[in-house]
Amino acid sequence: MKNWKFGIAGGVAVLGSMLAVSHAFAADPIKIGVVLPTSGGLASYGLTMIDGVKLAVQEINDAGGINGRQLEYVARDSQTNPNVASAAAKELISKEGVKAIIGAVSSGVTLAVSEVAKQEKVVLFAPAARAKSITGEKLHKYVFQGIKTTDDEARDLANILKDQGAKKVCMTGYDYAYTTDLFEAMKSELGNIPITGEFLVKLGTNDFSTLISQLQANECDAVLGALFSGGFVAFAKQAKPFGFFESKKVVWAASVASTEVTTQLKQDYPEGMWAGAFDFWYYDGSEAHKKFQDGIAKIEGTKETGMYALNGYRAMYFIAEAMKKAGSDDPDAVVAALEGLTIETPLGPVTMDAKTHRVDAAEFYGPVVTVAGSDVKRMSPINLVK
Amino acid sequence: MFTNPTFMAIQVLNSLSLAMNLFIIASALTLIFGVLRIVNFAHGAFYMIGAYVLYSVVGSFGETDLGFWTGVIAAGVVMAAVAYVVERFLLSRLYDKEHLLQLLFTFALVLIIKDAVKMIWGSLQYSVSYPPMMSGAVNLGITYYPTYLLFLCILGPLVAIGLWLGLEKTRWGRILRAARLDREMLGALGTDVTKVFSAVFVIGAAMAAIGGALAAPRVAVDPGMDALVIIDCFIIVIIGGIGSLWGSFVGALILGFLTVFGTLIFREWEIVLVYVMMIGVLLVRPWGLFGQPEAERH
Amino acid sequence: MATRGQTIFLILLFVALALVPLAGERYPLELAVQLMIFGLFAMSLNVLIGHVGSISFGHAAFFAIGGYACAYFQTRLGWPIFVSMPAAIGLTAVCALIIGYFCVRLTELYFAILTLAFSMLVWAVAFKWTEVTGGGDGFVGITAPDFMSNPVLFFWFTFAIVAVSVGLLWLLSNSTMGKTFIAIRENPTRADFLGVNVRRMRLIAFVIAGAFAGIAGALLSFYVRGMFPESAFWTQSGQVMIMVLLGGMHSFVGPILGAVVIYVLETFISQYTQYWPIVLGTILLLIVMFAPDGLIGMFRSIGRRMSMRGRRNA
Repeated sequence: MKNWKFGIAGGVAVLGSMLAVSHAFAADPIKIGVVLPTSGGLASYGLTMIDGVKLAVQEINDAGGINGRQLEYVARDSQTNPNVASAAAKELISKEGVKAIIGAVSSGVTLAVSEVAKQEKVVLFAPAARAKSITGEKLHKYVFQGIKTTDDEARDLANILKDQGAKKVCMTGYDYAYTTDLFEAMKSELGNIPITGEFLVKLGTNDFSTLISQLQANECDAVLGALFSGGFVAFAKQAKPFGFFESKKVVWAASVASTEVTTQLKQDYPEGMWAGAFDFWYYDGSEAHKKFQDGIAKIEGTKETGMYALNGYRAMYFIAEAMKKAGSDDPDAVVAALEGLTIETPLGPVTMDAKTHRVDAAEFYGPVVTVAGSDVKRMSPINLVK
Repeated sequence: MFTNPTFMAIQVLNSLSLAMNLFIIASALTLIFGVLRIVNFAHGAFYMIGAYVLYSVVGSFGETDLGFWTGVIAAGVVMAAVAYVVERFLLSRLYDKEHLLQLLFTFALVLIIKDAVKMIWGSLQYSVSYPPMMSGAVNLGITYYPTYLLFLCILGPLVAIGLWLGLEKTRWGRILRAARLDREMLGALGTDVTKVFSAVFVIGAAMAAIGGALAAPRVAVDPGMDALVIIDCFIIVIIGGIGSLWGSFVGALILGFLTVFGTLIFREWEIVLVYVMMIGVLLVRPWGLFGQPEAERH
Repeated sequence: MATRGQTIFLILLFVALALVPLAGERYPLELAVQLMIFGLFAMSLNVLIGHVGSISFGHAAFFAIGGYACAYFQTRLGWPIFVSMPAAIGLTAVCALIIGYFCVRLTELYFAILTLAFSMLVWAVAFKWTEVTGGGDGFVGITAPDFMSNPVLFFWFTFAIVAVSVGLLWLLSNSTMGKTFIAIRENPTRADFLGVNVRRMRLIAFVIAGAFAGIAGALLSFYVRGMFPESAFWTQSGQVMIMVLLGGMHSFVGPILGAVVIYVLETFISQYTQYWPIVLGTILLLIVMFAPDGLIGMFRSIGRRMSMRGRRNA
């Protein structure tokens, strides 16, 4: 039996591979970790956000970097799986030596990475998850939320519903933390307007025929929808032949006025429905916004860019400005600098609240309508809501 | 709510249209399952390919009726070609191997197909409209109902009858049924079993793709669209009985009604209900409602 | 059954692991902890696949149950770790006993599908039972003993538990029971004929496999300070099965080797490309087509060829 030889060979190989991966990290550029989905159903959000991060890094480095040091981002695929994202965050921290991480998209994954950030005392900037638990019950010193929470979103949506004269509201969305958070906030924001029905469907479902008839049978005159992206697309297509969007006042949460969604649905997008978005490539409100869009267009190779680029871009600028202000990349100093920090963004100044670790970023709300010269509907008029 | 006849009529139609769309996909799975004895995890990925092919064809033809139906056929043809290559050069070498290897082979296909789809079409979501001739709704007297969904309600039984005639009345069907019962005997009698297997795999894959193309106007076409449909198909096949055509028809109806009325009654706990149902059937009648117990099981 | 070569490999592997903290760097420690957890998970599945030949496609259920139970006992009930962890493992074993009682009545494909259905049920419950599991967002932030904040101590904790577990599995595989398991795998009818209660032995294997998966899950919950429904989803069961197959399902150390290779490849390849799944799919395809006995099988056949050449030269 020569088996033991292979035992030794195998053992040496495993040991070797472990040592091989432990090469030392260079200290010179400041590395920022990025944990976002680049595969699976949410990949397009992750990839678009990374484009935004990339543009911000380019601009910052062209302007001389941070305190003389160049900036670099290191991206890892979260696979929209909390275990994978946690391991990736630990790898970024212990091997790449990052002191700050941008991530993630879904609330569960963001909370998982936040837990790592808390343990490892590293800054986590959550660019796209709205769940209020991130900076609510799970708030800690090192986590910051770079997007309006469900509480803010509920206030904006409730105002729209009130403006439209809604008398009785029913609500629908995926059975998921985002939706339950949002609906809870809606209840207090709507005040004396009664909620006559709440319809949750299982996450990932794309057959909405039952839901549509339930909503139509309900006594409500207004519907607040919260199905996101693909779910909304499927819902809109399935609801159209039922005349659903003509039968009720419909207002949609979850930023479905985005170019991502309107481009998909084209003429199937419900005409005149009110919804929101983080950014539009066709918004021409300021020089800064135009410059940002030109930069993203160059990276993506199309001028019709997705709205998530802004989230990545803004997150990177927040971290970079905080590091400049702190004069170091030490997480405790960066946290202190981030608290109360105001930065200029393509949509105007945004402040990170010192106490709540939440931002007051403006978002767009308005009706999505057919515009001349485009087969994709657009928001018009555009309202920038702070 | 349950006393409102219009509402109930719509719910029944909803159950039927969902069931029939799933049936077209699941009947192909049960065919592969029954004849090849392979748990095909890649069935959802085949379904996804169909939807993407339809999207591309509609994109180049424009959103016309011709574009849509060409796309549906193209979905089947493209998938059949891919499946033929996969079966000939890879899968056919595994027939005499362990179940585990076959199962993992289809799992490998899932991983490869999903990434290949992402390389070809990107990671964005796409959407396809209903074909123009079916974009409206039909007055059924009691209520209006979308034409396309009615079309699915009618297409399902037609597919079932077509498959049944094919299996019962043709020589090919007899060979297939024989292959399901005893492949060694069939081989000994001089039939080229490998050709039978190849044909079943190709037809099954093409049907999954056509099912995906037909589902495309109702859903968002995205890289994650395969994950749930495969579980739905497993549930249907298990409830109905592996290899049983009418079993999967009834299984699809049960799942369709369970999904719609389960959602109405149990609300979001319906998610648990379907798995309980699946486990229940497996325990009481592992061979399904319409399947036959196998002699070799111990 | 573990051969002498495999036993030596195991000993060397643990010696190598024990040397990792000497490197004085963080990342090898983290990687080693992750490898040990997933290695143990894969080895637990191999009790079913490799020993009794039952292909479970729902093994992630027990991984998740162990993790959730441990998280709940630690955090909500405030039990100390030496109570909560054994209790979590015990609960997982009880769940495995209940689920296994039903599953072992079926064989082959039906067994695989029933285990899949049960694991999806566990997933659905984990997703819905928000009060206990945290629902879709997962159980985030578990109360861990203080020593676990120290990466080196956490490494030793994991090392000790995994080493003891692997030792127990080694004893099992070399025991009379282990040999009975293999007899069942090779020919259940004959085993039955020889007076073995096949169904009961398969149930015992199911419970053992479930309990060790529960240990791995409990370790993971401490490591990531949480537990998430994704851990029970069928793709997680698929991943661990790939690890077992890649390493070699009929050998004792194969699964741990498979776990190491898959995990290390995933970690490094996904740093360079977003197309890791296609790489994994291709590896899996090649293994299935050309090396169904996995890496261990490849080593063995290379070894046989080399020793044959050696004899010819002599």
